[in-house]
Amino acid sequence: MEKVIGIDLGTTNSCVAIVENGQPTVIPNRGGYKTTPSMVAVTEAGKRLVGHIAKRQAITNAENTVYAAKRLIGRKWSSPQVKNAIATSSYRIVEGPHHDCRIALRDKEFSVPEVSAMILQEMRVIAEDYLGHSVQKAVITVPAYFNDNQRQATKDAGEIAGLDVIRIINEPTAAALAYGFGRNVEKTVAVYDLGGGTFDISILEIAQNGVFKVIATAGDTFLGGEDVDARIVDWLVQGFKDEHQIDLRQDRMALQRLKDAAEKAKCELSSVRETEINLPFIISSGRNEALHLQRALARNVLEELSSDLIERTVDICKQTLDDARLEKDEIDEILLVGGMTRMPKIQDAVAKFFGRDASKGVHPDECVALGAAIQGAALIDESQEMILLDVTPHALGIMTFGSYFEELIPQNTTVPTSRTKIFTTSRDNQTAVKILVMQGESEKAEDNEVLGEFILTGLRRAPKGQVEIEVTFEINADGIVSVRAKDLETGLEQSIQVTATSGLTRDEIKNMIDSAKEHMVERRVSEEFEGLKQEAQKLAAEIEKLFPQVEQIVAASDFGREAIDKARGIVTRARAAIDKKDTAALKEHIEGLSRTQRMFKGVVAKGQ
Amino acid sequence: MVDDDELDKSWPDDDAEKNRPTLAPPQPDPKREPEPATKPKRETPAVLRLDSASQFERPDPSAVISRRGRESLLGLADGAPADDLSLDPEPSEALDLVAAEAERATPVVPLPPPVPPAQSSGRIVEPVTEMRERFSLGDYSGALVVAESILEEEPSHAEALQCETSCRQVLEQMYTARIGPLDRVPFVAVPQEQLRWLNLDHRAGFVLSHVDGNCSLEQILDVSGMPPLDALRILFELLQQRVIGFR
Repeated sequence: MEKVIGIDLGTTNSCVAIVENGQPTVIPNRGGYKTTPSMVAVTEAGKRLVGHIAKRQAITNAENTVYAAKRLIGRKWSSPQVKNAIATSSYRIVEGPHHDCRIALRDKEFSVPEVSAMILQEMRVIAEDYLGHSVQKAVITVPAYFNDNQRQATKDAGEIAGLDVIRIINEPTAAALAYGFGRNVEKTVAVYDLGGGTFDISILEIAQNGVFKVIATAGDTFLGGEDVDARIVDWLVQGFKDEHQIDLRQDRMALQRLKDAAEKAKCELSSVRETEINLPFIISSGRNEALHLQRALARNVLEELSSDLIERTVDICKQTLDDARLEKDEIDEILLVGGMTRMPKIQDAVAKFFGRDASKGVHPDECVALGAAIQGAALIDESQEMILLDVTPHALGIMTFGSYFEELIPQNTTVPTSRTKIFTTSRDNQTAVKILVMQGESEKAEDNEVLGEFILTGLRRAPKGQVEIEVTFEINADGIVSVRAKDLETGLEQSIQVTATSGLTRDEIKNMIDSAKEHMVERRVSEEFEGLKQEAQKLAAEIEKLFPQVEQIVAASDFGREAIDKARGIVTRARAAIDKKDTAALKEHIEGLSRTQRMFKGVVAKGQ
Repeated sequence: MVDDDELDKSWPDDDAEKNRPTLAPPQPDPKREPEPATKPKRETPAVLRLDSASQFERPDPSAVISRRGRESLLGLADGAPADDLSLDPEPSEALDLVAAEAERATPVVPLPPPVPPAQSSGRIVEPVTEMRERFSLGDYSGALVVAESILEEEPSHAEALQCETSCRQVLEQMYTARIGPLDRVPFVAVPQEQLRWLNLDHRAGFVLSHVDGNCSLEQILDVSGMPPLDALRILFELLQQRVIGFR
C-alpha cells in the first residue's frame, strides 16, 4: 500500500513521520535528528542550504537565511503580521505582484510557499531516503487558527515540493490523534504547545465518532524557545562585558556561537541542574589576544531569566479558558507539545495552572507529525476505524450594517454543509446590496479575513427593512465555499465561489514546481555521483595499494605486464570521469575497477 | 623514474595526469637546491597563456593541480606509498609556503607582458607595481594583500579588483589541493580542556566550533560565513597544527 507521510511543518522545526507495521514512527534525518530546523539559506556561492546546515550559519549570513516563514505564509502584504515580520526579520521581505509578500535571498525573490516548499522537499527526501522509494502523498499540519488562505498556501507549498497533500489538519488535532492512538478516548483535552518561535493553546473535544473539535485556540506567534535562548545570550554577553569590557554582540561569529551554545545549554538544563558553557577563542581583544568564554549556568538562573515568558503563556491559557467559558476542572487531559515543554519549570507552571500534571502519553517534539501520519494512514486504509472529519477552521459569514460580522457557518462545522439566513436592506430606497464574504470569529468585521465580495442589484425601491435577501453559504466536500444572495421578492440572484488563494497564480505555481523538480533532479544526480565517486576512489586506492605486489608476482610475464597497464588505464579513466563529473562513465568504470580489484586480490592470494 | 622535462611536455594535455585525485602537497627535492621564492619563471611558454589584455587572468587552477598530481606521481614512481606524500610543514609556513612552493615547483605564471600605466591616482602607482611583481612571481598571497590595500583606497580600481579575484581563485585552489577532498569529515584532535592553550584567533575558534565530527569540510566552508579563501586557510592551518584531523 502506498505510504503517506505526515509532516509537522513548524515555525522553527519540522518533523516527518509514517505509519509502519501499524505503528506511527518519526523518521530521523541524515544527521540522526528527529527534527529539522525550518530554515533555508542561500550562500554567497548561490548554494541552497536547508535545515541544520542553514541554522549553523543563520547569524553570519543573516540577510540570506529565512526562518519562521510560517509566520508569513498566506498573509497579505498589508497585514499587521507581515509588518511585524518586516520589522523583526533579518532577511528582506518585499511586496509580491498579487499583494502577497516575497522573500529576497541574494539576487532572487522567493514566494513564501516556495520557501516552505524547500523545507517540505527536505522532509520528503528524509522520508524517501528512509523508505528507499519515492513518496508522493502527505498530510501536513497547520495551526488551528490558520485561515483558508494560509491553508491553501501550505497546500501550494506541498504541491511545489512535489507532494500530493491529501489533507491539511490542525496541529492540536494531530497531537490529540497521537495521544488517542490505540485507545478509546472521549475527553476534553488542552494542548499546550510551546515551540521554538510560537505558543499555542488549544482546547479540543475528542468524541468517539472520530470528531476532534477545536473549542478554543489562542496563542502568541512571537513567543517561544528562541526568546529563552535570547535571554541566555543576553546573560552571557553581559557577563563577558563585565569581565572584559567587550560587547560580543558586535561580532557576528561570536553571536552565532553564543546562540548555538545558549540553545544547547537550555536543552541540557532540562535534565541536569547545572551546565557549563565553554566557548574558547570567542573573540580577540584589542591586543590581538584571543579571549575565552567559560561560564556555568544553573537551572534556577535559567528559570529566573525566563520566568516572565512562562508567565505569559499561563496568562494566555487563562484568557483562552475564560473566552471559551470553560473551567479548569472541565479539562480532562493536558498534552504538552513542543521542545520547550521539556523544561521542568514549564511543566510545573502548567500543572499549577490546570491543577493537574500533564499527560506523559505524547512525545513533545514528535506527536504532531505522528498524528499527521496516523491521519494519512487512515485516509488511504479504509479498514481503519478512525475517521477524522473535515471541519471549518473558522466561522464564515458576511459583513452587515455598522461593520458587524454576521456568522452563517460556525467554526468547526463538519463539511459538507449549507446554511441560509434572511437579511434586509439597511437604507430607504436601497437598490443594491454588497455581500462581503468573511472568515473569522470576531464580531467586528474589520478583524476578520475578507474572502470575496459581490453585489446584488435590481432590488425594489422600498423603505429600509422591507426587501428581504436570502443569503446561502454552502461548502462542498472539497471545501469549496459558494455564497448566493437572492431577492426573495423578484427571485433575482447573484453568487460567488470563494476559492482560497495563497497569493500565487496557477502559472506561478507551475513554474515553481518545475524549478523545484529541476533542483531535486540536480540534487539527486549530485548525490548519486558522490556515492559513485566514493566507491570508485575506494576501489582505486585498493588497486593502487596492490600494484607493487601484483607487479612483483607477474614481473616475468608479458601478459601480466599488459594486465597491469590495463589496470592503470582503468584507474586513470575512472579518475578522469570523477574530475569531469561524468556519472554515466563513472558507473561503467566502477565495474572495471571492481573486476580489477577482484583480479588483483586473486593474483596476490595465489602468489602467497 | 619519470623525467621532469618529459612530464612538462605532456602535462597540459595529459588528462590522466591532470585528473589524478591524489593532490598531496609537493615534496621538495632534497637533491635540488631550492630556488629563491622570488625568482621569476620564464621558461614556461606552453603552460599558461595570458591574454595580453589582462596580466591578472587567473592561472588555470587545473594546471596548479596537475603539477601537484605530477609530483604525487613522481613520489609513487619512486616507490613511496601515497600516504607518505602528505607534507607536514612547519606551522609558521602556512600560506607563504603554499605560494612559495607553488612558485618554486610549478612555473604556472609566466612573466607578464609590459603593462600599460595604471590609470589611478599617483599615490598608489607604487603598490600597483608591487602587486604586479608579486603576482608575476607567483606570490599570490602577497599580491592579494597589496591588491586589497589598493582597493581600500580605491574600491573600483579595475586592475586591483582583477588581481584580487585571480589571487583568491588560485589560492583557494592551492589550499583545496593541500587539504584534500572536501567531502571528508574532520574531527577535533585536541582534547576539549587543552583547546584554550592553543595559539588560535577568534576566527579559527569559530571555524573550529563547526568541527563536530558530522559536518564535512565543504559544509564547514558553507556555514563559516567567511570568504572561502579565509576559511580554507584556517582549516589548512588547523590541519597543519594537528588541531583537527580525519579518521
